[in-house]
Amino acid sequence: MRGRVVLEVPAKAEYLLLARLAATSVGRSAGASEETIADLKLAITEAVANAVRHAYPEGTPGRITVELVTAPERLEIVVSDTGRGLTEADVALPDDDGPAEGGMGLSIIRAIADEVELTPGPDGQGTRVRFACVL
Amino acid sequence: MNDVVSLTLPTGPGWTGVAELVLAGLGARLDLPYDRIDELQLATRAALSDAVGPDVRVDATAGPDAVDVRLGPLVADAAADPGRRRVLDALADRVELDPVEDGVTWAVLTFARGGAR
Amino acid sequence: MASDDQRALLVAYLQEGDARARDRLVEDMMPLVRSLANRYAGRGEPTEDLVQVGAIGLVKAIDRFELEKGVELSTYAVPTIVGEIRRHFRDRTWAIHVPRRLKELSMRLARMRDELSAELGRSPTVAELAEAVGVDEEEAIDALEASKAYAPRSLDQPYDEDEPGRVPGLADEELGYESLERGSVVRQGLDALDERERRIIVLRFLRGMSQSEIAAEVGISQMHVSRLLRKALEVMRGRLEEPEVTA
Repeated sequence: MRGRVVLEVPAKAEYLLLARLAATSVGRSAGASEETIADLKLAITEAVANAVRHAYPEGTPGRITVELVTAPERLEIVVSDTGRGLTEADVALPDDDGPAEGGMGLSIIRAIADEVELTPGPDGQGTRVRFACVL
Repeated sequence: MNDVVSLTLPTGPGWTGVAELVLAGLGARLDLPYDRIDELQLATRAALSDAVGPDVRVDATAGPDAVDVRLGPLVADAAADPGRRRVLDALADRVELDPVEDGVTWAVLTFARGGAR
Repeated sequence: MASDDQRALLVAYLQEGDARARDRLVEDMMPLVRSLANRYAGRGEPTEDLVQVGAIGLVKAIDRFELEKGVELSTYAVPTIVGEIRRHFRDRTWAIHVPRRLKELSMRLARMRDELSAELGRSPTVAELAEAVGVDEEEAIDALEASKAYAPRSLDQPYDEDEPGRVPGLADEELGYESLERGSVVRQGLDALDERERRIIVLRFLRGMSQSEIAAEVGISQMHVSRLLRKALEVMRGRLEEPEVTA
């Protein structure tokens, strides 16, 4: 079943649940195995949590967009925001104090999904993480 | 400033489950009693069956006293059948349909929060 | 641990075979393993098991680490640790246990919904249900949704048992069924339902009873009322929804 679902939420931690539920629902509709769905949820969690943490300065309102596109044999997800764009924290390597959250998040996505791509958003604003899972 | 959760999905019965699960999540975050969540889902599903066009949009706004679910575009005579309208009226606390424009309308379903906490 | 120290330990282990150096590295990096294991927690596998499995991944990563590559050990180790944890789930849980776990959880939640309703005098929230049953909210939401699938006979749950033919109480006329406009979609739809489904629709939409009141009246669980209501509305629309794929 081909389709595109777009979820847009405020950039707040409590809405991470909705992104995970969207992934669960779309994944099941697409016939993904429970294992793949668990991976999808984990990858989406990392991407959205990263945006919640870094995209917008403390206290300013901002939104996060999660696109889920199903195609035969494949589910593609794009998590984007229109915030301050890629920062050091997003791509930081772990240091003396242990793994930087952003860097670890990306490592996890890379460990799980295929075609992971991290780019600035449209017009150079914000960040866009795209990844896909083979079904 | 009220939080808004927006969802765009393909029209068709196979996709309403996505909206329902996401709305369940929103309902949980808002501490809605479960029967309220269930009826919010039923009303949304009922309204979505009147969707016209390739995609339909669902915007849920969480206010202090109520959740407004705005959805469309819907066919112009959505909920015109009195029996159908009765179903929506029974499930939601308030149902409003926008004036028809370009052959389509949008519906706003309101669910009072009250109760739990 | 400072980068230099970590490097020194790696050299000691990888080039000189110093096993204590490896132990020291593992010990130092256990917070990373725990952090990753926690991301998979609450899925039916004890977190401690996940931590142990993750530690195996860490050891493998250390063994395979290449000093010349110039990458940080923790970045390098993440995929291996995550891989071990995922493999653990694949071997133990996902293929077999998830559907069963979801179904069992659905039953417990259905029972708890009725219990808490009686206790609280209102329908419980997801948070209350989840806490009462001992799972996180997301899992509760998932299982509650699964309850609403049109269960074919084979999935009938003991708690929800009630005989198909049993419809006690008022006649349809008394319930106001006849008051519906004959030409209306709803009336035509009602004609397509079985007696019990029709009764529930009438009680809900003509008599304005709540689901919990209907459950008490008809003698079934609220989850069952919810499921029947959902199905009846779909039948009325002339379209029978496919059961949700929950397993």
